[in-house]
Amino acid sequence: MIWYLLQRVLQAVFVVWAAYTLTFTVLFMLPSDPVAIMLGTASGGETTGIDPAQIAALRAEYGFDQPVIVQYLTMLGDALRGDFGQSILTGARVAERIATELPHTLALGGLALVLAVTLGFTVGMLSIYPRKRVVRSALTALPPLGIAVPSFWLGILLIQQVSFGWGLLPATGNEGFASLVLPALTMAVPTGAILAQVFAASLRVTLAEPYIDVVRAKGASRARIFYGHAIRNATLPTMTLVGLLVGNLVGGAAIAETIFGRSGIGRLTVQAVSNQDIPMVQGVVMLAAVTTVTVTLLVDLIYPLIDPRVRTRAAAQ
Amino acid sequence: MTRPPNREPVLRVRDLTVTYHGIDSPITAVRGVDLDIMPGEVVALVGESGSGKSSTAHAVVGLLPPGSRMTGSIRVDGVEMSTLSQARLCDIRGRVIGFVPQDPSLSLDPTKRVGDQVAEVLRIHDATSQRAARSRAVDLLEAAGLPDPAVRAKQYPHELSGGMRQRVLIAAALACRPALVIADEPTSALDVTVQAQILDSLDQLTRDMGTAVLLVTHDLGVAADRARRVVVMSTGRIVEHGTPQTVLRSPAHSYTQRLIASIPTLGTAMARGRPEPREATPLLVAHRLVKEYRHPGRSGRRRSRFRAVDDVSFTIGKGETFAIVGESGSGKSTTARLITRLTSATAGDLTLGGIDLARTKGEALRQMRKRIQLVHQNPDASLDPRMTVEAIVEEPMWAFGVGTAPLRRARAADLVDQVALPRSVLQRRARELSGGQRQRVAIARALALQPELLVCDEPVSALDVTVQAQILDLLTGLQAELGLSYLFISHDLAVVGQISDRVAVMRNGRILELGTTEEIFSAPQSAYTRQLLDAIPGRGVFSA
Repeated sequence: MIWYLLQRVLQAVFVVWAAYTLTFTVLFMLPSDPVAIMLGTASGGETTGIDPAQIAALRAEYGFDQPVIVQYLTMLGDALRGDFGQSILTGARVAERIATELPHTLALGGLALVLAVTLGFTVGMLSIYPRKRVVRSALTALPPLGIAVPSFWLGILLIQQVSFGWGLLPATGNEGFASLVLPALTMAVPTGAILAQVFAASLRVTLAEPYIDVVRAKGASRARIFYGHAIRNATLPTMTLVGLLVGNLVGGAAIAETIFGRSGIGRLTVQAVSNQDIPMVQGVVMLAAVTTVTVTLLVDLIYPLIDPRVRTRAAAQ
Repeated sequence: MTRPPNREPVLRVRDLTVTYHGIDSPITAVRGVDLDIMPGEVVALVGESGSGKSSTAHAVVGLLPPGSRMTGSIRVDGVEMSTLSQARLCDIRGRVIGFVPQDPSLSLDPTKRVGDQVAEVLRIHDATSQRAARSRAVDLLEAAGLPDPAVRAKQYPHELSGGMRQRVLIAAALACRPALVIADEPTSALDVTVQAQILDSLDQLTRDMGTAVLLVTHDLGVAADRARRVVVMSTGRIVEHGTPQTVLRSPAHSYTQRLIASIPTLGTAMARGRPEPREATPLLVAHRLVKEYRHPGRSGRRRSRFRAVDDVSFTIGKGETFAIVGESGSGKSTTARLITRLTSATAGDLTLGGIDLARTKGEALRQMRKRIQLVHQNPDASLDPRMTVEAIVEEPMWAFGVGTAPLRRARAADLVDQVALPRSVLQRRARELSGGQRQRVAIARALALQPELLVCDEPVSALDVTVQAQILDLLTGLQAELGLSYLFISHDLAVVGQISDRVAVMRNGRILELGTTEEIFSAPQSAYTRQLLDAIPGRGVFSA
């Protein structure tokens, strides 16, 4: 079991490192010059008319005059200590900025995840369980719709109707739980739809298993077949997907925070990318990587609790 | 057994018809079946795949898949099942009718402890507490012959062997002392020696409880050994019924006659009388082969090694059929994989026609593969369902760049002739063919490169007995025609007796006994071989 854990953790560390290195490489290869951006020449192209000595000083200060490998190792070393440098735009510490914005996005993402999982499992279940065919068909059609609807459109629709039309919930802002609901719902719909589809398919496969026939032959009611056997077995493949979808939520946060005018990591990312704020982008990418990896790790750790076969394999390793 | 006159049958089926949605038109699986089973009676329902025997059994338990239609009357213990409400049906299932499924490895919920799966039946019908149901489940497991029932009850299905799992399922089926048990091929997924023990347990328990049994089986031997009455089905109808003696010794219907003639028994095996095995020139020599796998120790810390094949030596002569017989886990399939070099031996020597095969690598090994070809157990899985038969048969030639496209096409047509398939199959896809036809295609593909040795890994185990006999005849014919050597892997001693010159009996990775077919069958040296021979069902009826 310890070896199973260790293996998973090592894998997670490797993925984070790979994400870091990949971001560094991609950002390094971008044609723009960070020093030029700092000096305010918008596109980072021309630096004429600025004192070359000043440029050289800046380069030295940020270490841009060093060979690539040295830059990489220095930044990696700093990153390991939790230091992602400072924004080349505002000069703010990247780690501090992320720390201020993180709680907003955590609350939003957390609520979105809870909504998505609830929605996904409920709709998935209800598209299989009811005896009435009409109900099942209607609910089976929902997830594809949820996936097809673009989330920015859904967000705008919600603002129009729920906020402006009915005046129920605030359209923008960071204040209180009420302001969380609409953006979280916007993020939860596409994610929940995917979960619903996978869970329904998984339930369908499970219900066709011979062991379900045996349970039926024992005289089990429909409810017992579902709650006692089918759901638990159908949850296994869906769990893995939950882990992967958390990564998606980071992207969803960028859209939701922009539409609903909230501050948070998503907004920060959009700003950082459009301003080519390289250290900030790097910091956000690392945050996304660590989040995804952590959730996947958690899923891996929960798996043996649900499936005794994984438990045996883990114990054997 | 004496029973009072005019007693109601426990199962009374009248004019049962079952129809499934087909791709184009509805498929009628059962056509007007009438069947009575008296209390405590054991009736065997025998037939090949597609005969409608499983559909009949499933209709009785109410387990027909969605989309199927059933007409007619099924009365269980005097209650008409076809008009029952869902709730009443749930009440009868498990309490009045028990069900023992076909494949124990797929029939237990993998996420639940086996004891709880037995206790579940009691919880549903007896309104007992969880604790009482659990302790009763342990008693039931013990009665079903599960060793260490208290420990096993707390384990999960994957921690139990196939035979143990089937005992769990029997315990669950009999937990409420039902009046009728439907056993759908309860032992066809198990080894013969295990099969005998499981059927003994089932016999014992049902006799003690006075439970009637509908035993669905493809195996006439099992039917003859276990049932008081045998009912034979073919294409959805009952074609014959009676006591095992009358049905098996003097079958009236032509289908039953054909079925019985196809069964490879020890009697027919000897009667066929293969020519005296000559001292053939050795083609393949295996010397002290060993295959080790790393096997995680139970402590989790110590890694032990597990020998799947342990010091195995044999030779296969030119034109000879050499068989390896064994039960699951005996190492016979691993040996086949070593010979075909699908896996490499940990130690030992292997030569083909004097050339080293064990240590050949890369392109040289690829060229050697031409000389040894493989026929798998399950033609459904070993043929790409979307490829045409022509493409399947041509593929090995294409892989080795044999001939030109028109030549390959001509050769494919010849090969299809050789395995006695009509040329029209060339343009059809594998999934459109029957199991027997698919196995013929697999054999044609194996012959495409004119190999010297054909390794047949359980080539007929997935087929019905009548088809089995045809494939065995085909293999025998091809050998005479082409001078092929066969390595024939099987769990079925009767089949082996029919086709092989020499036989090796394997157990736990070792060869226990090796000799001519005659020697092994008439004068087995090891106790295990005798046990295997004794476990073959139907000996009593067929050989007497």
